[in-house]
Amino acid sequence: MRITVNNLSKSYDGEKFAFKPSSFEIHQGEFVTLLGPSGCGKTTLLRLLAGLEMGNSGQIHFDDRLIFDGEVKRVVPTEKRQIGMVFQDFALWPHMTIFENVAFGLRAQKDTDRLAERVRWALAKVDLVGYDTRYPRQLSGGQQQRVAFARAIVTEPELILLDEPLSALDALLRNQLRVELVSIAKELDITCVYVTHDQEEAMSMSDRIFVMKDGEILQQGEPEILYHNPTHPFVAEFVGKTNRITDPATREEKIFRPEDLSLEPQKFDDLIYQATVHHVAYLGDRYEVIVKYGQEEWTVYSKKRVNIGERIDIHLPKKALKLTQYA
Amino acid sequence: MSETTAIKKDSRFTKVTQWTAAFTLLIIIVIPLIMVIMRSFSIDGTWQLSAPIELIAQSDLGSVYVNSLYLGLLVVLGSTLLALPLAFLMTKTDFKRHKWLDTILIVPFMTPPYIASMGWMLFMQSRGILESVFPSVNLLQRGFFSVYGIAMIMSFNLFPFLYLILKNALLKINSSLEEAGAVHGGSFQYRLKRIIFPLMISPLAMGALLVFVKTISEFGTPATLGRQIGYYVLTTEIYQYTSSWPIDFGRAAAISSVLLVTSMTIWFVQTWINTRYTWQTLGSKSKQTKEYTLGKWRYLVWLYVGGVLLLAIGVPYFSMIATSLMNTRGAGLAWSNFTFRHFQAVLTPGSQGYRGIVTSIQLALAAATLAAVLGTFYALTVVKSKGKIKGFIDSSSLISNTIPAVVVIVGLIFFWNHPNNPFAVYNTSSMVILAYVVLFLPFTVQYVKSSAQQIDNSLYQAARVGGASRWFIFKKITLPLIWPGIIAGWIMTFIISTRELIASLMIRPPGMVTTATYIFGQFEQGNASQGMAMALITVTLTVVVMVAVQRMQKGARRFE
Amino acid sequence: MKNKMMKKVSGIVGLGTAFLLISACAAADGSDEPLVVYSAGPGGLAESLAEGFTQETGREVDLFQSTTGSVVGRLEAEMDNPAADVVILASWPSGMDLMERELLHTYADAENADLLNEGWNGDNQLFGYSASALGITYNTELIEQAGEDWADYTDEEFNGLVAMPDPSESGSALDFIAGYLSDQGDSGWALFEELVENDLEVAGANRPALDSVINGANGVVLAGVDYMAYSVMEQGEPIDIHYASSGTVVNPRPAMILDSSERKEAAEQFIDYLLSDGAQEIVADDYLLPGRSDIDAHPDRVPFEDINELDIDWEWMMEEQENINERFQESIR
Repeated sequence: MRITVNNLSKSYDGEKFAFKPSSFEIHQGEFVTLLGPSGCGKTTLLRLLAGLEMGNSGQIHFDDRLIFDGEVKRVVPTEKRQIGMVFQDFALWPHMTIFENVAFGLRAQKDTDRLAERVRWALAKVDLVGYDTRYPRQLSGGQQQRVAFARAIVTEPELILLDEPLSALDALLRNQLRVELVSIAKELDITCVYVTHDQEEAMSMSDRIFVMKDGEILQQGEPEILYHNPTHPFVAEFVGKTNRITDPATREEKIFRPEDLSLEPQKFDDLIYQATVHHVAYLGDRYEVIVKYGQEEWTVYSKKRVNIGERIDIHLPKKALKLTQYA
Repeated sequence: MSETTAIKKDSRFTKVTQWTAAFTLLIIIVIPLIMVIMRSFSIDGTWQLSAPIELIAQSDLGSVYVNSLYLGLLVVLGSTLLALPLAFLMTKTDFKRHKWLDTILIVPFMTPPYIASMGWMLFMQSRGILESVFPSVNLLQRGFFSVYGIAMIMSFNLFPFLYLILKNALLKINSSLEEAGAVHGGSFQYRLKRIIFPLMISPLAMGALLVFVKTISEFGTPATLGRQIGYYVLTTEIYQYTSSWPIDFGRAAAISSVLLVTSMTIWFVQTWINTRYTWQTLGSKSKQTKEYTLGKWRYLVWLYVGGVLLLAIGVPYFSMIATSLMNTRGAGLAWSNFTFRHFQAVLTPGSQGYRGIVTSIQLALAAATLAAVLGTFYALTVVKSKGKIKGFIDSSSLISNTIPAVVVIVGLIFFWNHPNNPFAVYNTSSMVILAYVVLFLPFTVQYVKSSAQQIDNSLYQAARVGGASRWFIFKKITLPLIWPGIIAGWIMTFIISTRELIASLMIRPPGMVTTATYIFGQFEQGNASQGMAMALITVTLTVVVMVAVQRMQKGARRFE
Repeated sequence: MKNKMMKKVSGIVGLGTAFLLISACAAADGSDEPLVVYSAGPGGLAESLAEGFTQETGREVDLFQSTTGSVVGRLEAEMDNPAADVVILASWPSGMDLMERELLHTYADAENADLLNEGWNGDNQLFGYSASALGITYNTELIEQAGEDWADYTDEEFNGLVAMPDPSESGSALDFIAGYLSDQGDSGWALFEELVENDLEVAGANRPALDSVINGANGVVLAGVDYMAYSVMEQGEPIDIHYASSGTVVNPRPAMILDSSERKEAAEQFIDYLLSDGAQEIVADDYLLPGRSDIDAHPDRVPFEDINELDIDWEWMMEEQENINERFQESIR
């Protein structure tokens, strides 16, 4: 399903925007992540798409179907939008079996043809065959999240909204479920809008990322573009690690990535800085070194151990230095 | 465009539900109470601010007020003396493994006070049951047939309530607090004095105030033992002035207002203490509590616990059973005097007693069901509302918890018996049902509210995303999740309604007999043995209902 | 959103409440509905009379049975919405009070009314269908020699043994006090003051007072209704009764029809029934004095003719009863 959003905005008190007027498009089958810190409006936008919040202006279309129109104040209510959604706290109904939890949407829409078969299909998709008769409290956190996902796909929606679905799980499980989620979404060709504050999660899963702050979409694009060509210092900072330096002549602030730095010479025209080692952390495959250059603290990776207090030369190719554009 | 609907900011139906709730509460409880207060300010139809004070000064009501307060103090003292040691034993010592004690302590609490005091009176009176076993105990009788006897019976009825409060407070005192005291060199007595006792002051004060309010609100014991020995309190005076010649509604209203203001004041003090003196350390219940070993002391403890149980349960129940099985009471305890005829008389279809049982069950069924519906409606409206209207619905649906039942009943009489009231509800059985509902509504409201508040919003949102209509969500999600609360409220209302005394006495229509009015009537003017037989049947009914429901719930329990 | 769904619930609840109220209203008229009778006096008797009436006429009776104090209290409380059709009290002056206030219906054609004892028909409004005499009831195991007259019980030997029903609950006890004062004048108060000094216990209505004598808490009840004593004697309790030598109050128990009644015809039938042979026999069987002079009292009791009556002025008693009660209550509190 293609989502077209035109000039959509949301304000709770009429003054401060929870979501500033924006327009964008999400393509059929695309996996889009809304990334940003808490309070940036990413959940608000997701809930606007779900119909759990009402916008103040603008329109939302699902394909050619008008879902929301803020100008004439009309809306398709949540329960008629035919979408799937996965919640942060799973939101499984404690008094229903796994089977009934998954079957809920089908029963609610009186779409009970081959009900059992379809529920089993969804449970099989998330690898939970044989769990139908259990209750949510009898399942682990990861299993509960799989049920929530099965519940979202059983009605075969064209759009699934995911609200930080992995944040309640531990790191190992999170990595595993990321892969599964994306592969099922791609296999079923479902459009996904995914909310997270974890940049690693966003980078690893998404076709495109919308970086948000203070109710505004700062930049949207493929993960690589955001990483290498951030158009906003916040985007640069939030996506990957950044070091910064102020040009003494122009007083312009420039940024560069830690992996651009090296303790050995790289190109003939490298910029060379002399810095003091402040902290060293062994990461297994390399060392993460924090150095001080003037007022700035930079992160550098090194193949060999350096000592705290040691003064070292740091090499940076000129090309890596990027000017950030201020909004 | 056709599939969209207009956006409504605050749904019209939300408003309708809120106003419906507020309006019905206004009628069933708020206006009646306002009428009590207004009536107490008018003398012969003219308004006078000083009216209540004048009325009280005029008669000997001052002494009646003092009687109520004195009784309250005695009961607070008595129930504290009973509850505090027991709570300590059951939380801080190895005695706590006797968990059955917690269960058995429900018995005195669930025994209606008027029944317990009848049992005691039959036991203690001259040539009563005690004397037929030990013929020379006249000294005890003098002491019992006095305010101290009333205080004792009420203490035995109320101490389990205080015990529960204290026990929970003690459980929340983490063992590390005490261990830290020990590590830093505090002896057992020193720790008791400097750590446990200060932490217990707030729960003790709260519990004591609640016991006090319950005591001055209580009608049953003063109406039985108190009336016989001429110890009159506010509740019995209200009953007297509204039901027996010479009737004086103005005075009844004045006393009601005094009682209302007194109990409301105590409630506010209680709430204030609760917010002011509840320590952070009491935040969560800890399983790790320090346990002391009783050692040789346990013989003394057993003696104490045995004594408490004997007096709280043994005496009244033995007396009730004995009386109900005696052929003639003059003949005393003897096998030749044994008979089942009183039970037969009560249970013979068509007899007054039998009609009383059937009526009480019918009334209780209707009241419990109506209270469940209304209580659920109010609770859900409160949970889903904001602002002033929420506060109004919340507090007025819970108010009959705070004020004495007799005051509520006086208000209901004023309202429904008013010449301008167009509804002919007064003097019908609907009136009794309505009174039970108004009195016991807080049970359902509280239980349902606490279960509804635990339902996370995302559970509803997930259902909406799944395409469910509002009715489908209510049926499939809200209702099942609040169901335990509704059932708990229903049972509580049913049980208490089957033996409710004061409302039944004051507003039953002609021709109606309930279990409580039957017992009360038999005790006063009829055959005490039949009254006690009925009392035992009522208590048995309670137990049967509780056990049956527990069984049913166990069978149906699938989730927590 | 959940609010919206609750609209349905609220609608149902609202409708339900309205329905309850309406259905309660609907029961307001109709000619076959039960006759409402408020009756003082022995529960068993009121019930058998009600049953007898139902058998005879086919009409159900809704009976509120309590003490005279509660019945009058209830009538007063319901003054704005009267519910009773027929009222039966245990105290003649209480009935006269209602007559004085013009609350009663005159039934001139009551059957057998002419056979009532002399003075037991109050202007065809009060029908003394039965009567009780106030006796001295004592426990034969505790009292060897009962006092002949009221004043004997102010003696030291009866200290702490004497009980009396509370006149604010028992109409008959109030009638005794008023009747005694009517006979003796104001000096009659001395008797009660001395009794109080001798630790008189004032205990509830007639039944609790008698109970306290049966179980031995007290030795003797003054001015208790006699039929109650006879009935416990029959059950084998160690009780005996006699009547004070100086005279006592024989108190006709009036039955009356409220003027506000909407079922006067049925109410008149009920009065006719009370004065019929059958009902009078039931009255006699319960040890009360039958209202009709041609019906014999129970053979085990002292008949009306053999009881020495005080010289009493019912009119004065009716006017003074409230004051007398107040003064008495003050003296005991």
